[in-house]
Amino acid sequence: MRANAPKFGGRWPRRSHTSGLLSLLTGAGLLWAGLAGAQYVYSQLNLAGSSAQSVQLYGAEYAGTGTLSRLVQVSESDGVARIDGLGHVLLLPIDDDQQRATTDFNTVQLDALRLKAATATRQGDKLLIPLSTLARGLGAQYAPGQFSLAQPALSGVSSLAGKESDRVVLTLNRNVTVREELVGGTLRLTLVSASAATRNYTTRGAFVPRVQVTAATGGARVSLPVAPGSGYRVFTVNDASGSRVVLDVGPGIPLDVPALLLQVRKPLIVLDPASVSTDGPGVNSDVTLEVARSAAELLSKAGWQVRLTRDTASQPEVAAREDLARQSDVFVSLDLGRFPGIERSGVTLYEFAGQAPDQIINAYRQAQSAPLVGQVVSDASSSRALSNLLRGELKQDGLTAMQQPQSRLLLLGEAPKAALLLELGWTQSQADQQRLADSAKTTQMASALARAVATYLSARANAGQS
Amino acid sequence: MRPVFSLFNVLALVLLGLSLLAFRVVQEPPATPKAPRLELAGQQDVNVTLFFSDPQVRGFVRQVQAVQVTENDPVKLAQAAVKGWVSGPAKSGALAAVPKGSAVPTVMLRGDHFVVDLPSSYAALNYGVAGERMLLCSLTRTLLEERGKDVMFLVGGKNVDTLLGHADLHAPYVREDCADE
Repeated sequence: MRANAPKFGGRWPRRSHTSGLLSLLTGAGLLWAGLAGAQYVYSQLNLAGSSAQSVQLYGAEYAGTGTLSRLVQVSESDGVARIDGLGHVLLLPIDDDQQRATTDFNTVQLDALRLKAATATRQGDKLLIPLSTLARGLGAQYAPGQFSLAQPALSGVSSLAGKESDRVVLTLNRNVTVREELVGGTLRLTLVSASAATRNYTTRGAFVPRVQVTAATGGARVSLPVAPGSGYRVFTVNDASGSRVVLDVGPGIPLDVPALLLQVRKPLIVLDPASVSTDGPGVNSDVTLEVARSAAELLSKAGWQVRLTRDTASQPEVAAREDLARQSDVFVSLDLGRFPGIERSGVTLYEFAGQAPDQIINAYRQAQSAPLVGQVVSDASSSRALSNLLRGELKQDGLTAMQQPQSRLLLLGEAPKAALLLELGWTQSQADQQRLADSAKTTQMASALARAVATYLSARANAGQS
Repeated sequence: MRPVFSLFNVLALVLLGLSLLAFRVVQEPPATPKAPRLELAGQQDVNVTLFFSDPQVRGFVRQVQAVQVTENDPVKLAQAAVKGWVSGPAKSGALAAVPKGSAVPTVMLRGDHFVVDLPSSYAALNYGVAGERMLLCSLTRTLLEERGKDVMFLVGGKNVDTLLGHADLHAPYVREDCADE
């Protein structure tokens, strides 16, 4: 026994040396197997035009919920990942076995379609979504490292005539946001970001005789008339092949648009002739009322809704005028300039400058981009647009009007939309006295005012604003 | 017999005489004090900047005028400035904001805030929008030239919506409301 025992400091037996080498190799092998077993690497992904990070898992490409948040909204409930975006809803079970999750072992639901496909899994606490399944569910194009969405396009318009309503179907290659506006008897749908060929379609329907498609900067615009007494409804149907926007129009559908939009169909013009006691012998004592009446008559004949703050010689209470100003879509005060010892003449247009006295109006003006806010209030640019139009119209009649922004104007500040004060002239000025005493000249001014207001409101309606 | 003019009797007589004299003095009515001489004491000339309208009622014309104040009190100084503003410009090239002889508004000061009570007669002035602004703003600028942050206007002691139908008087006027055009 003693002779067989290895000596201290002597050579190890050959068998022991081989065993150590094997142990080392086994350890390295296990380490390699462990690393290989993880089977994930980070890679670069082009996600709808922007660079992002993806994870390669067993040959399948995944992306984290944070990465996808710019495209879709991902939530998690009872072991299922719910993905909402682009008009689609995808339900993917979360499989904690990463390798199995990449196979078609699991059943996923893409809108109404159920199929076997790669599903969601976890990397630590991080939820990962398979890009191939996501692309299929959203109708996107996917290749490893590339996830792109097709440019939305309106590919077809079809119609179906019905007994109580007509149906128009707009076919798109993918879902888009649809904005609807009913302005002045015309329904306008904007298919946001969608491209389309400008074209007019005629239908056989009794309620929708024609549909006009226009290519515009913000997206395709679809316009069609809505007859009085008719209602409409719009809904979207999505499937894997694309999206369809369905529009039903006719008397069989109740018109349940908000009261706000009904107001837009019939904007209110308020003319506020100031009651002026004139000292000038040549000036008609109520020239402001005369011009306001003429302008109101012209506008009413053209179908616009007009109200005057007074129709008699007496001036109404300020509160009553304020009340009308608050309801107005266009508010125009008519006045004469007066000040002792003045050396001034001519027409001046005063625009309201600064903050409105009502905080609610200021708050809405700060939030012009919010939906329908543009129908409730408009900012100073509206008054400037109306002022420019009126200046142009007066110029055609040979009158040069001065523009003057002014703060702290009571009635103009109360008006939520376009508002002006038109100073027809100065009572002390002889030139103005002669002009204001000439009924032909005052009629010209009334016509200019009516044309400017009508042009302004028509332009706003065509632009889809109140 | 004892002598009549003894030392005791003489002293007693003297004391009696002094007592009678003292009694008479205290019985006399006090002398009427003389009224103090009336003097316009403490009045001094102070230069203030007043604002008036230009002939076009577009811009402001600034004029420095001397006003008389009895003491260096901000309210009295402001009131004197408003009195000067009502009197109108001393030099040509400017227009008064109110007719000559108009009532003078009352000025109050609360901290940095002026309150001006405009006479009710101002609400009957026949001014247009530019004229009304000129009236309120020339007064605002006159008051805020030296001190204060804003001017709240009352008419006849009451809060009102407007003076002549154009200007909004719900909130105080600040310098920015009356900037040069």
